Amino acid sequence: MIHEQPILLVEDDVVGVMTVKRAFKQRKVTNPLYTAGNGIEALELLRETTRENAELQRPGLILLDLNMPLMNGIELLGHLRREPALQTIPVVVMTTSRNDRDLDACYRLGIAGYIVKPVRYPKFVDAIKTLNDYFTLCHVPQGSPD
Amino acid sequence: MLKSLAEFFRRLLDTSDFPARWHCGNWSPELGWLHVLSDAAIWAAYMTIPLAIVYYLRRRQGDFLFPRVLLLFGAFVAMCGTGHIIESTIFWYPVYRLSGLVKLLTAIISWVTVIALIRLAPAALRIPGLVKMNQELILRNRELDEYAHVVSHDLRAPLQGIATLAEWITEDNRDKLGGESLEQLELLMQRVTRMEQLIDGVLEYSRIGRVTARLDDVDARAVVEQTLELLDVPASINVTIHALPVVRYNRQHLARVFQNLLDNAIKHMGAPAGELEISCEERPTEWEFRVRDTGPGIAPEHHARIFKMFQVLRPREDGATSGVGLPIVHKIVTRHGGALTLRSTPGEGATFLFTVPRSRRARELSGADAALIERLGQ
Repeated sequence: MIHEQPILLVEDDVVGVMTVKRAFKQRKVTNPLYTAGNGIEALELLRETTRENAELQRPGLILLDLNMPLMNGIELLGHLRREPALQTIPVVVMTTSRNDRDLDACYRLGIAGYIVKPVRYPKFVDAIKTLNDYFTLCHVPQGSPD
Repeated sequence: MLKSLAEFFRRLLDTSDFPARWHCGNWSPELGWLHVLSDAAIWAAYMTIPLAIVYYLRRRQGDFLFPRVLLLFGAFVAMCGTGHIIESTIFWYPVYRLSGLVKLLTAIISWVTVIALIRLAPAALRIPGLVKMNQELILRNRELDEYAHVVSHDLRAPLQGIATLAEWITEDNRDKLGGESLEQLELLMQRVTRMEQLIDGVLEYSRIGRVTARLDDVDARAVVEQTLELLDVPASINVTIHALPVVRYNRQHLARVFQNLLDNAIKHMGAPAGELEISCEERPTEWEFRVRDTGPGIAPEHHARIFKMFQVLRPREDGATSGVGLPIVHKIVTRHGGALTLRSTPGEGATFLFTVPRSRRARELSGADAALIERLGQ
């Protein structure tokens, strides 16, 4: 999806990361996958990719969990929206349950989607399939237009 | 003694022994009318107090802690008022016997009231401020909903991990695992599903209390028809929808009420063929909706507990019910100022009845009470 640009997964739970990796493999999603355990790690990694001569390519999509230590998903979204180099990366929130206040806050911060992770794994794979189909169809910016 | 008492009552309204007050002394018209009109005004004001007391006691039965003392106080004020109106009539009709009798009765009632108030004082002082107590209660309820929400939100994450890992173990080791282990993993997954239903139930239950619901004019018939379409009703069940009104309600809430009631009725319909009937009766102050089924019915001893959280009457293994359906209906109906009741005899089906207040005032009473209590406390 997204022309093979890297995808950043921000998720603190090991099983959560394994779930996404396995579902990607199963759905044959071949994008490079970066992972970060919380908002601070994610922000550092993203800033790293926007430097000149960076080793890592800037991600074309962020999959974001909300409940995380140190800096949670909503706080990270706030930072992303304030940084011109990171503003245009689409963010899809993947959380364990619907919270109306979070939902509202996330869309205010310009997310591209909000997915409640199904408890059963096969349904999660279905969700990843839909996500893959959509972002294969969808164009996203590749870095900042200079 | 007895004779003079009889004489007193016989001549209670007799005015022949005294001159009318106008002729007794040197009244200027201004001074006389000052007395007459002031006494009349006092009487009128005093009489409204017992009327108001009786009115409030009847309208808010059970809300007053000392109704008898309140009535006594009302009688005391009424007697005081009567004394004043007699004072003003004496300017024309010198009924001094009646006036004296009324004064005596006023004195007696006054003292009875004084004694009652003194005896009441310790009990009355022990009551914590009702306004404060109510405020606390509203706050606690809100906190409880908030708490339930946060907890179930957090419980869902580890549950998802458990489900996923169990699924992978099964998937990756299907050949290596014995039939027994596979069976146990299947049982594990069933429990995970059940726990997921419970968590989602608690989340929904608590959401009803946390979110302020928007009211619309909702066509109940359309809601019922849409709900039935989604429910996949077996062809053997004959559904009848009678005339249903348009009611002022939150659309999602009304849909949820019908969905849970109809779903319940269909799931519990024991016989392969059955009747499902949805009707509504118009009452002066409310609508009464009825959902009737011809299922096995519910024994009277269960009636009280089916509206409580997580009370499933059938064994859990068939996995059909999570036990939060009716509590959710109950919470929605009461939040909208109505009542949910059940009429059922085992073997003869069940009818769930819920009311929707028709007047804006009645509908908002529960909400208005909370707002008033909050305002009073400030």
